[in-house]
Amino acid sequence: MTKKDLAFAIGEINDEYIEASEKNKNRRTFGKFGSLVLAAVLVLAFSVTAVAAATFFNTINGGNLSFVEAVGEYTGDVYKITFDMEISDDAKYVIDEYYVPMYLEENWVDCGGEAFETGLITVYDNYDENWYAIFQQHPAFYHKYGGSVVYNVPAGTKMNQTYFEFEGEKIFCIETQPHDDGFIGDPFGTRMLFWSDGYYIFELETRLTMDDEILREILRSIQKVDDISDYVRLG
Amino acid sequence: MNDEEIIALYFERNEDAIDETAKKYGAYCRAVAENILHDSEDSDEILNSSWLFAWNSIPPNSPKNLRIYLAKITRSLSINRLQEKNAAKRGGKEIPAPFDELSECLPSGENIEENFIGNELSESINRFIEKLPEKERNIFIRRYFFCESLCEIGEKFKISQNGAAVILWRTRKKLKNHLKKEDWTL
Repeated sequence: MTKKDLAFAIGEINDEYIEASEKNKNRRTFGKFGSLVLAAVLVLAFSVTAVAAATFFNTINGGNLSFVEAVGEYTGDVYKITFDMEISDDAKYVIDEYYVPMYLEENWVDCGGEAFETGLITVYDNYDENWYAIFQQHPAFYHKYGGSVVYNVPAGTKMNQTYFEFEGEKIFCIETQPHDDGFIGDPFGTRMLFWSDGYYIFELETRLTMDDEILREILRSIQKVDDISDYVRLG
Repeated sequence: MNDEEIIALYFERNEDAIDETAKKYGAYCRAVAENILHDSEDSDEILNSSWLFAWNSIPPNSPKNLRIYLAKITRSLSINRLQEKNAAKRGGKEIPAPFDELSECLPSGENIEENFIGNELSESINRFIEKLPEKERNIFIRRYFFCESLCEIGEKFKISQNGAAVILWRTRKKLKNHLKKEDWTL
């Protein structure tokens, strides 16, 4: 089988699904279960309102961005986690300096990524340990007006807001707990870290089962690169 | 003119069928071709070929959804054109990013006999698509059927480009598992 075979097979997707994909169905839907989860996430979100967690990567660039409120909202198949932040005057509109987790570049399988003016995503797999990691970078400015990130987990998945301790700092962290649904989302649970250097928002998502020490290795290895096209495709 | 009337023209072998098709679905099919070929001259040629294909295939075919039928024809001809161009010259256009990403879904590096693929793989893909949550399914189709950019998908689904990329990556992983489970690893 080749990618061309797959491309042609996808060309034979049933008409009704193709037609459905053309309709704009982005209205917010709150099912009964979704509403319950939303309520739980809201409680968690407000419980961290006063905590300024994201000072740890100031060592990279300087900056004073902090999370003051986090709201998760259920939108059907994904969670949108929205951050209202105190934005630095220097927060970026576009990315002009890209960062890459070198530990993953050097030790794990690079599963591709893409860099845009307004985002960077790189994905890595460790097939031996059955771990994965997704690293993202966004300009911080857009979060001033209710910017959000998408967290793709099934309805009803338990989510906890917590912190990940790293070199004396506490990094804002959301965990999803393991669940039974092996098809939708990751049944092993995930851990998503968020932080900022004042210019950008960074995210690192890994499987919940991954060793904390490995996660710290990854965090330590994040560094600015001269040419992001050496690492990912330009979008 | 509605689709039933256009299809009736095809069945009457009335050449106005092609004009009416081009008038109604020209822009739509052009977008499908452009997303794959990124070349307006090539896209024009593909559109003409699509109308000819429709003329030759209706009848016997009587599409329930003319727009999607034409999109499928245009998409298929565009992929073939792209591959011809790649084969014809070194340094020609690379296979576009959406199809390139599908390499991740291949269960093994081994090739399966060409004649074993076709419909069976399409049916397998449809079984996979059916099980996806609606939003994920729609994003998958926008990317890999219509070859839309992450930026377009992000705008359409009110998510960031990164968000779209993450959702697509997860879906490709699921597709890989699905293909493995259905024994596409020969």
